[in-house]
Amino acid sequence: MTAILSITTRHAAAELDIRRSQDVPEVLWSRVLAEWGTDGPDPAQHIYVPVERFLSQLDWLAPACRRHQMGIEWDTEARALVIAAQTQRSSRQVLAAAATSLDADEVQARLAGGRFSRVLKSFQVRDLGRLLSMPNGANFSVPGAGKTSVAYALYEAERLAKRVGRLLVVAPLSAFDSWIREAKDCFSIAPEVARYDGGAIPRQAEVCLVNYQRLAGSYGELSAWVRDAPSHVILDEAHRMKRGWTGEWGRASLNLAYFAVRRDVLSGTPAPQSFRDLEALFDFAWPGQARQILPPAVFERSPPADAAARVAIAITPYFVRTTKSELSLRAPKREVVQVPLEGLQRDIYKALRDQYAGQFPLSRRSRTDFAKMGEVVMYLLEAATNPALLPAGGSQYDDIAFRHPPLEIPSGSPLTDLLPNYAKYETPRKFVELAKFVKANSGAGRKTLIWTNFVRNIVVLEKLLARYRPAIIHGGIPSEVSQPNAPRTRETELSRFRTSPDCMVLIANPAATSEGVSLHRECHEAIYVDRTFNAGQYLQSIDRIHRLGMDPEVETRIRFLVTDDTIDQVVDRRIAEKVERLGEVLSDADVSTMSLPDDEDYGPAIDTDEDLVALFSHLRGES
Amino acid sequence: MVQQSLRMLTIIREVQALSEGQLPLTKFDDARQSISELDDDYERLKKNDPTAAARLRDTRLVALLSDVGYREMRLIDEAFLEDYLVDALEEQDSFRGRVDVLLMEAPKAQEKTDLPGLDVLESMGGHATGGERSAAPLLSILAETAGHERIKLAVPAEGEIAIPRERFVSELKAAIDTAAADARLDREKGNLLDRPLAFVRRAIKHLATAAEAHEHARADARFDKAALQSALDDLQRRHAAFVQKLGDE
Repeated sequence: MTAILSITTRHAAAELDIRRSQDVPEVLWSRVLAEWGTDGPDPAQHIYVPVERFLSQLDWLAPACRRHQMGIEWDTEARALVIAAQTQRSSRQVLAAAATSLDADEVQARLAGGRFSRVLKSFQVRDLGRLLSMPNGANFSVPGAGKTSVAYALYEAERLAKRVGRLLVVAPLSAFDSWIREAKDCFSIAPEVARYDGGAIPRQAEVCLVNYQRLAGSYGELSAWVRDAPSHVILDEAHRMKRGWTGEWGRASLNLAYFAVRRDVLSGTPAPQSFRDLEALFDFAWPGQARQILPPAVFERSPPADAAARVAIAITPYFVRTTKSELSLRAPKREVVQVPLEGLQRDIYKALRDQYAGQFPLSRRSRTDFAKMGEVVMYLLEAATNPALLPAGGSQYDDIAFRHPPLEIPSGSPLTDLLPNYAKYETPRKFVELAKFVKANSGAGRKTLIWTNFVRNIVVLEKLLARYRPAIIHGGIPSEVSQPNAPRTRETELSRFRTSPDCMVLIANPAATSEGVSLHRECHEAIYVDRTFNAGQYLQSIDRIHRLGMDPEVETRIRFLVTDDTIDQVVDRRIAEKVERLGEVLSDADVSTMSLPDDEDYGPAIDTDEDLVALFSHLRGES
Repeated sequence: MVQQSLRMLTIIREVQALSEGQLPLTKFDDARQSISELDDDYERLKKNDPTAAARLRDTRLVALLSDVGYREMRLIDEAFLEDYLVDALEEQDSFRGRVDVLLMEAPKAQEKTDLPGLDVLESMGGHATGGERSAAPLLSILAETAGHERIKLAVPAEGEIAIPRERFVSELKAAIDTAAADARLDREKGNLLDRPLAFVRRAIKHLATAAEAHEHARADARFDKAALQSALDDLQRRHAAFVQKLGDE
């Protein structure tokens, strides 16, 4: 007699009841408990397992059954769930083998008789045609390419095909307005859109918007809504869940994936830091299959030189992308402004660099160094920008990844004498150059957006540039949502920058300036006082002033202040490399202008082995 | 915590079951740290890549049953077998030319293939598919022969051979240690300044091992002296070129 594991659904197919027959060996039942947990009143005999946990941890079962000569008895619904998961796998394989696309007429036919009324641009029709030919998809188009419109058209076409009946959009709060506005603009009869703030989802809601944090917190309610009717689930700014199973948002998104009939991910920067960022995104679109989609090179400790090309080939069947150049915007002018390292600042920088060169084994490279080296990066960036920050340490309002203690100065170090004198005798050379540019811009009637990662710099610059009535945004400036009565909020600061003729400058740190900010109509000058190795921050910040909807005749200018012979040059080179690699992966030569900043997803200041190698090389005096 | 303990116990019970009870629980007394780390790494990997997770699990368990130290064990990841261990096994007398016998699954005659309900899991196999090397067969060999004097292997070119189990395990441990040393060197790639010297030292060590192995092999009529001579000539050419390059700098 064969031992039998019986698997039946319960709670409207939200859970499975897994029960052993008497002959199931103890060792196999232990494995069942180890893999799926011990929920239920009598785990010695049967357990309750959430469907998503069951489906995401299923591969061990068949080999174990064979080893222990055990069969499985499924009820109809449980069998159907597994078959549906298998069908997804095979449909992905079909897609990989032969990617197809609907032409414009076919796209039109799919939308005929429906509510979608917006006239799409040709590149949007092309993207929609590709997405409609995929069971699940990814839209990696640049911001401003109309990903939201395309997503609504996609939903409507799938609804008309009776594949889905409702839509859950997981997006940052800043994107909610766009989803609500676009629903009105795209449809002749707009679907009912609900913002989910907790509690029950209104019965009449056809589209439900939820942010990543709330999804993780209210997973039960939201997954039930998705399960209750055939649903389309879209992750907007999907790179926010790039930590996948290891992050709270990623885990909730990946679990939810199992209940959606169709899944799509939207992101302009799907892999800002490393190829591996793609894994969670593809695992959502194609549950459990990212490792079959992505080439093994992605997961190697030191990816080979042609890894980007291999990734590009591998992911091509699964995504669409409209590039910036297709939006017919005038390309921004970029200029690296070399700032000399001189005077006391030069002495301080050299002393600091010498200190670190002696302190670390220069060739060491291990993951445990990252946190420590992150601090080193902070100090070197401060020394290259404004050495007066060194004895102060980070601000409480800095992004968490940027908080750091005041520099420890060993006794006998030349820094002991140099640092106290710096603020007395010198103004940072970058600030001098910055003031010149701001003055010139202001004289020409052009407002300037100034980026710096350090809140203390924002505070200093606010005073230095007081005559231009700067607006400032950083972690210490609350939003109206959290503190409606605060005298100074992000909204009032932004409004002042947009509308007041006196306010010619906005000083911001990328970590705090993401919530729905578009400045492309008011500002065409950006200056980066400092940048870190985080290419995602950089890529996302650029689009603040360079987006679809701006006057095509207006010139956008972006300047980067780079102090000679300092870490600035290393950062500049590394960012260029990362941007180039991302462009290669997405087959987009114009990739260096993308997406909004993303306050919930800022990584450490240094986050790849290559960054660390570049930093060590700098400390050795090789760059 | 409870769930992790349960998983760790399950790992032990599964290995015990493979050995049909021959491996006592006390065999795992000193392995708590290694099993805990194995569980962490397996859990981390299993949702993203169950096949890789199974590969890692089987390889670590082979190491555990070969009494490999926990430091070496940590260097074993899902790619360890193919990247390092296969070559290291080939260096051992008992395994030379027989590595595929150790690492390729042979179909088991007594297994029922028509078990009810498994059809639905057809494409969710998880483990190595046909033709792929895996540590699972080696793990079975080690577990199933616990308490035996000899390990019998069916080698296609040789028929059935028997290797004293003690020697088998000792050479397996040596292979895993060597492979782990290679993996460690590779992981310290950033250690650019030390790497040339480290590799030359490794080469010296390997040369000494080769000389020792030659002592054992020379009396055997099947020993291919010409092949060894040719490899030594190649080594000499490379050595001369390296020395020349160093002198030119």
